[in-house]
Amino acid sequence: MSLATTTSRSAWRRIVDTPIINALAAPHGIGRYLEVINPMWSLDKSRIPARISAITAETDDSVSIELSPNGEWTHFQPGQFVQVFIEIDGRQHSRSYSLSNSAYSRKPRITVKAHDDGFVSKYINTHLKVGDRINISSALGEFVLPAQIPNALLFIAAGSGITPMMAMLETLLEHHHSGAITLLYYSRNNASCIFRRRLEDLAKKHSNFSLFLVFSTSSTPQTLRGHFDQSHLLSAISSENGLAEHTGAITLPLTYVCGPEGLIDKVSAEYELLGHSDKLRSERFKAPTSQAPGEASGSIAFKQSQQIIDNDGRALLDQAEDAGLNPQSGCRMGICHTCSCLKTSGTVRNISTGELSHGEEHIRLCVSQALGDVALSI
Amino acid sequence: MTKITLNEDQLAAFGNEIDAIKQSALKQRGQRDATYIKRIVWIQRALAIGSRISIYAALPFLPSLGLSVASWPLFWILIGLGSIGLGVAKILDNMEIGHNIIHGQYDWMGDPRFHSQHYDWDTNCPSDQWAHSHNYEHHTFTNVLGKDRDIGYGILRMDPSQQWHPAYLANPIYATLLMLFFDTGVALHDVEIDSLRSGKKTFRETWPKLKQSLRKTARIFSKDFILFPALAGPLFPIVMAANAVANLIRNIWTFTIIFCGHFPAEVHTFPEHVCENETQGHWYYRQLLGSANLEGGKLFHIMSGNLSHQIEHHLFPDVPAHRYAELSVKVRKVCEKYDIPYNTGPLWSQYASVWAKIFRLSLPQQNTATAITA
Repeated sequence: MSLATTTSRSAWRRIVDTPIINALAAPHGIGRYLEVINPMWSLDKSRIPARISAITAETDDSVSIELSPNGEWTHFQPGQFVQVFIEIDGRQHSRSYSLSNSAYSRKPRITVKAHDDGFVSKYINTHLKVGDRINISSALGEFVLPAQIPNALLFIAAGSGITPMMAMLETLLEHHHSGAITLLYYSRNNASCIFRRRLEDLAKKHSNFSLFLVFSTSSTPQTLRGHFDQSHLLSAISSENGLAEHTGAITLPLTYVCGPEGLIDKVSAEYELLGHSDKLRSERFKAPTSQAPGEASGSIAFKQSQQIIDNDGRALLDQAEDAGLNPQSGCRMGICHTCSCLKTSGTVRNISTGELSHGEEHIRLCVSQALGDVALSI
Repeated sequence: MTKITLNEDQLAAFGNEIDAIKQSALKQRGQRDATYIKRIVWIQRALAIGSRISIYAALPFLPSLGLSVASWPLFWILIGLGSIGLGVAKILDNMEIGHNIIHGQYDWMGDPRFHSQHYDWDTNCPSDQWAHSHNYEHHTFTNVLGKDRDIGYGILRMDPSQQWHPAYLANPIYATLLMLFFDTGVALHDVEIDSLRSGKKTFRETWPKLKQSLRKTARIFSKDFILFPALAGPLFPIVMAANAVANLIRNIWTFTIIFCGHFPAEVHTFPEHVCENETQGHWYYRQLLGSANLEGGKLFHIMSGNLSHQIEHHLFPDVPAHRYAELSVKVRKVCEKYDIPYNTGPLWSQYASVWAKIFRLSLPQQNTATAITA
């Protein structure tokens, strides 16, 4: 089956967004004038205005926000996320949230769990109202289904890691994908299980979908309990829908995992043990932590602002902000390139990939740490 | 010239008090500032659209077209409102919006529309070149002869310690030309054409910036003098003239405000050595003595990009400028306490004093820069 869901940019946008009209609106561009008349007419492709058209409570501390973006929004692939920009007390805060509904639906939806230390996620849960306007990026991310969808798929999720899976499930099931799909979903208890009813309905309706809801602290009788381990994996793949389990060697299906670091690490270790690391796709929604202060050396020179600080080893973005600078920033985990800036000298390490960059190169401040003296053009 | 009497301890204490004002202003940044700059941008864009429409709306009333609606008064009213409105829109774009955003006053909002690295303004100078010549050179080395190239803009003799030359006899003429073509003057400022002329820089070194500046100038120039006039077909010259008037209004006004910020009498200039091992208190002190304010109402302050509070702007270049009025009250109190002159006056008297200086310095005169000693 094909998952192409492209919609095209509306005709009037293509007419109005031409070089000659933008030359008349120089240097701001025509979109900056259109948004004076109506903020939804902005032609900004990196911050697409979206009105909130519906809010649904999923659990006590999570909500689904249905969005009506303007015509700059085209489509997404299930599993992708958007950067969400929300203004709180004059400041634009940006966070990344997976799109949680079918890629065929007209309006994209995000589902946000209020984390204890989550300033923005709490704000979304308590302050946003239907009719409010926020900005979103276009759909980003590589955590998507392959072009040719295999006959068997396994999804492993915990907590709000269910959101990209939900998009994949809805897209596949509502559009009659016939292959076997299994979901192993971990939550604390019944009440904190996001999309529980929807998932159960899908499982009832589609015989090719096997659902395992796993609770860690609940007394409700479930087939599986506690945290991910090999027995859970074996139960999931030997379920009645026919995911293959051969004697001697275990064949694992293409698997998607999303959730807290701990879960991803455990699943990765298990797949490695079984020799199936190539079958695993994972998404981490947190920049890996950088080296501890104290191990770092050298200094960071911010050339435009004429400042030099001692390198403490943390991500350059954090150090720049603590030095009173306000560089552009976006996802803060190395995806969006908003914080990309020119390094004029020195060596930095990419915190997530370990790659080194020497000399004059563009780097992303949020996932780079300085190794010795570094000069930046900010 | 006022005698400067602060000792090292007093300078440090003075510096701490000014710094406290700055820190408290930075801490308060929030919704109020975001709402303010968004509202000004909205007004500016709406005024620009409305004024352009007004210019075209005047055309059918032109009696020589022979239409039944022909009317000189209506033609002049509409085209006049359009030209002045467009001039005002350009002033707002350049001063209260562009100047202040490129200073980074609104970077904290995290919105690319108001971010110094992204904002481009409706004037010939590329914003990143201006950020270098203005934000860095002028604001760091304010009124330091030989380092702050804003003194005379490479054309004028604005300080007695600039070596006199017979060419300076035409000082008032240069100043008038700079005033009328101020946008072009600013566009060439960071290119340092004067260094090319004097042989300090080669053409090769100058070309990248010059090319960038010419490209931006072509973009802005073609908009007002080719593209928009072309929309009027055979009435091309009328729209072009209206746009020229708008640009002229902007140039004269910005020149006036900017020259009144640093060149009235009683503003101090400094020799190069003051920058060596300068303390924070000393730096604030130099900014204060090197700047002058203009008095006026709220609208006047907005129209001058709050550069009417040049003193506060130089003390706190990255604090949102609409807060300068309230900060000036605190700064004046500190100045009174330490008996530091606070140079302020109405526009007409400061401006008269600037022109008097332009004329006076066209003639040879010996003097030296004020050394502020601790």
